[in-house]
Amino acid sequence: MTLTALATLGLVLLGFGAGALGAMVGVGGGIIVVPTLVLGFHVGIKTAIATSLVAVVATSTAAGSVYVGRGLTHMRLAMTLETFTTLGGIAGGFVAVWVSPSALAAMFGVIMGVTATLLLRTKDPLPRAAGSGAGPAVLGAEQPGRLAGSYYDALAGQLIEYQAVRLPLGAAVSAAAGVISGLLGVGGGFLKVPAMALGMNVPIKVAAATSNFMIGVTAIASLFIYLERGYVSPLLAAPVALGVSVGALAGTRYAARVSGRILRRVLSVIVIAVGIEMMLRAAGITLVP
Amino acid sequence: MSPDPAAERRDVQLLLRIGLGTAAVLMGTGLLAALASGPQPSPPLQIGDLWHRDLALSVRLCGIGILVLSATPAVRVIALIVLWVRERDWKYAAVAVAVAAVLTLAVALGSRG
Repeated sequence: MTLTALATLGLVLLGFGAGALGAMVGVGGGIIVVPTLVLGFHVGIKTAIATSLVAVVATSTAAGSVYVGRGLTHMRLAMTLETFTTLGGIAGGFVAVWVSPSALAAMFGVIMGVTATLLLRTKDPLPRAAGSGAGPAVLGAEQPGRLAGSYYDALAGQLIEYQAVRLPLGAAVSAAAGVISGLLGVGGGFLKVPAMALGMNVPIKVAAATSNFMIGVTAIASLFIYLERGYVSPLLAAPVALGVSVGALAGTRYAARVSGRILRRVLSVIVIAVGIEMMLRAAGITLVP
Repeated sequence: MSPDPAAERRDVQLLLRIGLGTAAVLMGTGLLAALASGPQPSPPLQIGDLWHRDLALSVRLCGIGILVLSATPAVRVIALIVLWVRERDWKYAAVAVAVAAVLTLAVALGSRG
């Protein structure tokens, strides 16, 4: 595509929207960036996926710089699961360069359907009181040598303690999320956050922040493959990454002031509509010229 | 870098901010240079192309900004290895070394073509 001032502005705004929504709703920006680049900016799907991976790194770095400071991110849990997401990311990146664009578009459509379903099923977090036998509390910190910690929940006005359990489940889901990330350029938070929150006993706020911290490392595992194969356009990726960075920072700041339920519903409708268009595009039917 | 948990968080936070800020300045300057030179194509490039003599400054700056941004999560993995070794948290230092090894593998596999 030819980069004009208007197109650059459009890319920055796309990044801003994806970063802000991603940070507020708990999904990565890739689910918005890839289809918008393909359908709205007529970019090839592999370049769109590579651009999205750059955006995912930007989201992770920007939001991570805030959530780590607030003590919401459990860095030891993140690093443990990253072992599996990065291996999955490499596998996904290698598979993606050999898969046809229409097959990738079809897979993206399916993933968008799954994301919309999980978004609609997610409930707002209910804080659990500290002192439930989860171990000694450390204010807003993780415990060295253990997958346990605590954080201060401002909404509940109390310290929440937790101890991560069922690590094999988290490892398996993380590996799958890594493959999907490398294959389709999404963060994979829509799989990891429910797995951590529902399966590993990690509070949803910690799960979302930890997943966000992880997606940057997962994305670069496959981004190196896209970079070496010549799928990254610097003039395309830079405005999206800049917009995503500002959007993610704004999203972390205003997340508590916006109704998560309404946001998730709006995003679900958008994701379903765009997912259908991606599936039709894969089948050779074009609704949006 | 200090071994206490609060300082650990501050160190990682600072590192992420420096990486993001540096990348943003490079990409922002590159984009402004691109806009100043009028409409232009935005072809995909390989990493090696960034050092090509004939490459426009705007594309080079944006590309280097993307490389700095991409390197930031890798650098924080190395920083956490150092921090956890200093805390004598050997188990998680070893986990971080494993992640660094997988990332090295990704670079090696990617560059083999």
